[in-house]
Amino acid sequence: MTTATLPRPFLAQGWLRALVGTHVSRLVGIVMFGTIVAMCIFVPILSPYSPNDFVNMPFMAPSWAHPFGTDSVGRDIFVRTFAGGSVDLIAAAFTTGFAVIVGTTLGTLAGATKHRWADTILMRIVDAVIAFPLIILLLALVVAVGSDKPWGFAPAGLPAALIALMCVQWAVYARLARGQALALRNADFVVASRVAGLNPFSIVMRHITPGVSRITLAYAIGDVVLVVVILASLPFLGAGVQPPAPEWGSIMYEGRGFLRNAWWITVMPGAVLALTGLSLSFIADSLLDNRR
Amino acid sequence: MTLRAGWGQAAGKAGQSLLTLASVIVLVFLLVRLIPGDPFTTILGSEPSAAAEAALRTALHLDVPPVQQFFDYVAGLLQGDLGQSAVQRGDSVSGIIAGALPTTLSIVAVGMLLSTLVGISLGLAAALSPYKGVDLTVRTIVMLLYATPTFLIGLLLTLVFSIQLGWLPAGGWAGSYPENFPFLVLPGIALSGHLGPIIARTVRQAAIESSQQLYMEAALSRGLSKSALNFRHILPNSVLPVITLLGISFGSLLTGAIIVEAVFGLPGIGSEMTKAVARRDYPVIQGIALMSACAVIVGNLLAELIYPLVDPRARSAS
Amino acid sequence: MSTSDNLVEVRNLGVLLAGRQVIRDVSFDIPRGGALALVGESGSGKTVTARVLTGLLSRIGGKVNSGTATFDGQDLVNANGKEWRKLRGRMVALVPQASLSSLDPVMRIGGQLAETIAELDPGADIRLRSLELLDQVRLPRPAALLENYPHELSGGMRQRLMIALALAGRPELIVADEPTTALDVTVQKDVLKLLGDLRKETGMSLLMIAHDLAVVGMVSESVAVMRGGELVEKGATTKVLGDPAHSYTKALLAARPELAPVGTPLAVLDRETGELHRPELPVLLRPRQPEPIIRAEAIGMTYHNAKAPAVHPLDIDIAAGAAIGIVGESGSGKSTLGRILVGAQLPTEGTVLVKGKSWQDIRANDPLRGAVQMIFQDPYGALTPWRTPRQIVAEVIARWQGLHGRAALEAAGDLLDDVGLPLQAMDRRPGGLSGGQCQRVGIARALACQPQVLVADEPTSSLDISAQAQILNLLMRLRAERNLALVIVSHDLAVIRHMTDEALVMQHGRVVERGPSSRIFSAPDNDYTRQLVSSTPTLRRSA
Repeated sequence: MTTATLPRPFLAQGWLRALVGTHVSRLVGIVMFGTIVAMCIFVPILSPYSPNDFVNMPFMAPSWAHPFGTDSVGRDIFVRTFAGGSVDLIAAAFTTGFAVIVGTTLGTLAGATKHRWADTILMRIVDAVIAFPLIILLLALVVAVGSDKPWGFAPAGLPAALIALMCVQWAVYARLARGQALALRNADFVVASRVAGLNPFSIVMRHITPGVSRITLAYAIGDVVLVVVILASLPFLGAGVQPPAPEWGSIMYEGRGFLRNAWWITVMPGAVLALTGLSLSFIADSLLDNRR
Repeated sequence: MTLRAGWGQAAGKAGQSLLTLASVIVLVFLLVRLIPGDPFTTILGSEPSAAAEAALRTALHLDVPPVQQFFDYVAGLLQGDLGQSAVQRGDSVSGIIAGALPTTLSIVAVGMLLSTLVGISLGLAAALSPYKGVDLTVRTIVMLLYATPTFLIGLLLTLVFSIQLGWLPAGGWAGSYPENFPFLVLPGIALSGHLGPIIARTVRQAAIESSQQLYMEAALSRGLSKSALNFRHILPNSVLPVITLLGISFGSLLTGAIIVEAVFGLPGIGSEMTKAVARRDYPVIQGIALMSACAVIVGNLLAELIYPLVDPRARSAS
Repeated sequence: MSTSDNLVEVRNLGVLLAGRQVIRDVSFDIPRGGALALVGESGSGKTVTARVLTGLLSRIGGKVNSGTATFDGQDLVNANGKEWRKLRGRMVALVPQASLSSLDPVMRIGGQLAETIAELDPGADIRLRSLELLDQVRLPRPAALLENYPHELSGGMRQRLMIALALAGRPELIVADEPTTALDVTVQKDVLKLLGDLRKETGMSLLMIAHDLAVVGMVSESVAVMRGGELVEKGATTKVLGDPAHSYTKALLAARPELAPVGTPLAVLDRETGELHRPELPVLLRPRQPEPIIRAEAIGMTYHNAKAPAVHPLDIDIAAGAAIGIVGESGSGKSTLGRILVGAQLPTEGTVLVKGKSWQDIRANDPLRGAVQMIFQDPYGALTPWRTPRQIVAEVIARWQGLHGRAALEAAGDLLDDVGLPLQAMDRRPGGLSGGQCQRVGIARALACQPQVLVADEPTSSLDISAQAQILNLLMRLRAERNLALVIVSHDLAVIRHMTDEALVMQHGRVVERGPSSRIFSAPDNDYTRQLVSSTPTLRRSA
């Protein structure tokens, strides 16, 4: 017997190279991201100072003792950056995880259901939520929730931002998942499952959801970057994590007035943030690229 | 007949947009009413006086039944009335927005232009030698830019071009043209730091895909030169998705503009929003949210209407 | 230049692609003004060989590592980019397989002709030459056509356009890579005739790549058969098709349904012995059953927004053990009819009754749901990409046969074994299987429902001829063993004639003729049926 795979010769080269190429960039991304996560965990534990300690003179340039320098009141920026990193990364992972789960579930059900009215209603809501520029809806919600009190472990300002993100982010995944589910709904293998009399719930779970979540998960990894960037932007707009809690955005916001003399206060955490984003983009891109 | 089908399609899309707009209005209306917690305490502080509360209740139009509130709100919207500022008494929300809008729109325009130019050039440059040196460099730069927050790009630009080199102002606004132009350069560049990479990525992907298409191979087999093919076939096919992208990026551009305004101290929608957030001026926040959602919806609609004009396939698809 | 009579000479050619020797020791000639057809199944290396002659081998990363190929004495193996630009279009032109994706979707036909003419025929009046070329390939209303975009043309028109583009540089050799594979038979016949006429008019040579031996007979006087990168037999077309020397060529012919007695198993090549082997069929028992399993009354389908119905109202009954064929070209409504019969789609008119119950009232857990099953055209698309054959079949067994967990998986293994899926393929994802293997899994999944009717929508049209023979044999065996009723939807008259007792011929959503298959295809009543029969490339049984 011969293989009936249609030869797609002209793609072979690009595809193969892309596979190798993306494998390299995925590896780089994973190593970079792993390093940053490890530092966020271990730097605050192993460091002799706590992020809010006044450890030395203010405005000290980066040195061996203080790799990222000190800020306007003499706190160690290296420690603050990696302590703040946990706040950003956990928050981003938490809200994105929530958004992926809720969005994928709702979107898949909307795309797969035969009750088209349910789909219509959900998609109207999704359209409306997506129509708002993210920051504007966030700010409106942050104001409504209030941002002056810390909640448990979460520093003041964070819960409001998290709730706001959770209210908004799911819609993107719902739209993505619905589109994918709609496409899969009419795929031959789903029609075959229906014709074979499989129960509708297991068709959705076994034959549609895995195809949908591959896509939404790959997007989610890329989306973590966006959430971190947005969280870090909030202090510039008078929202977000409130001082003195360390968080990438709030550290940079505090440093913006001293840009001329002490650039490191802003640039160092910014560089770590950008590298985090770069590593996640490498991973996400390689996941999406691989599917072709 | 094709023309009539085209109008029908356009009308259908406009109808969809109107529906979305209606849902947006409902959402904006509910925003202040569905959120857990009492808007009065968040706006007025933890223990508001009865008089202040009553005044605010009237200002926010909360002293009538909810259904009537909604219809009054919609009736107001239809007359262009977005309500009154809760803090600056006597200032209408629409007046505040109208005053700030031109500044924001000019930044958005500059950002859009720069993103498109830089994004398309970088994307094509990368795609010409996929998975090789130029491509890897461009992709890394593009991803790094994408991962750098807009405000950080803005701050770094200020550090280099204003503080170190003194070439351009670090912020401010002249208020009239052409004096405004120097004040637009750095904000525009900062703003394009987000959309530019997205466009570059899309163009690169489309260009690579189109260079792998069978029509490229068929054209090659007819003896056409590679450079002619790049110009006549790859360029148009890879720039097409940018139109859609620009349309759906209106929201993220507005988001970026708000941050850029905060960094460079420009008197636009972003500054009004930040001010309103700081003062808990709810009607203004609501008004800006509604206005920007409208802008996004219009942007999407424009992209959907323009696309069939440039892609013949979209014209005849039913 | 060379004084040889041969335009193209290929000697001991070897090609390395992705580390594999995909072409080994291939030699052939194409005489000036002559034609050669390279025939083989997928993976035979016929397309890669064509790439050597069009200079497109390096695009897929392939490399000639032995032998020579010359065009008019000029070395093609070592030709550089500059030399190729002089050759391509002017000397050698390609007519590609997929006409839609071989044209720039956003450029008008006129533009694509113009850029080609400007390059290959500088100084020519572009508009006049464009019209002349379109006229040469017998395209109607050429002036209006220049303003059209590729997607606005029919497949046949696009393929003619591809030929016109290839003719622009007045080449001496046309390489046609499966030029009619995607076309309906009536259109295919016209395009093949056009290629033949153009050869006579211009005196050019033709290299035709094809998987269908019958097509070859219509255009080429000589043929070379390839298998697994090697050339196994070459010679005059009449000789190779009439009296093949190599066992593989014999197998290709034996696998053709039109060359075997109707309803008999087709001979397939035994991989181990290399011998042709004709499987036995169990004796068909046909208990008379007055009541049909499926009774469709006045079923019609009109899609939303469609101008004309996809299927005009028609009646059809399917009894146990029956074999019914539905024939038609693309757009005839035959696939829609098939989907309506299995209840994958509800008709907009009339009802389909399964043992007296309408599909509308049959829920997913109703045993009647399992009674009618479907086989799909795209064997890969019909299998959930992330589930293995064993999982796919076990899930259905668990649903209908009350077995669960390990027992269901074991039963699935037995069933997959019965349909001929090798053990090592059972736990691989569909992406790693061949098309024929995927089709077997699809059949096993259908059987897991213990069906009484099997509706197969083009079950073999994306398979190679030898895989087709095996799947047809399997379907015949299952029909005999289980008294399964078969409904075969196909564009291939030979398959329908071989497999079915009764046939419906459809055109534009209407049944234009129905009756016993043997009669319809030997003495058709209807003009359209007659046209179909005469257009279908077939091989005559030789003595």
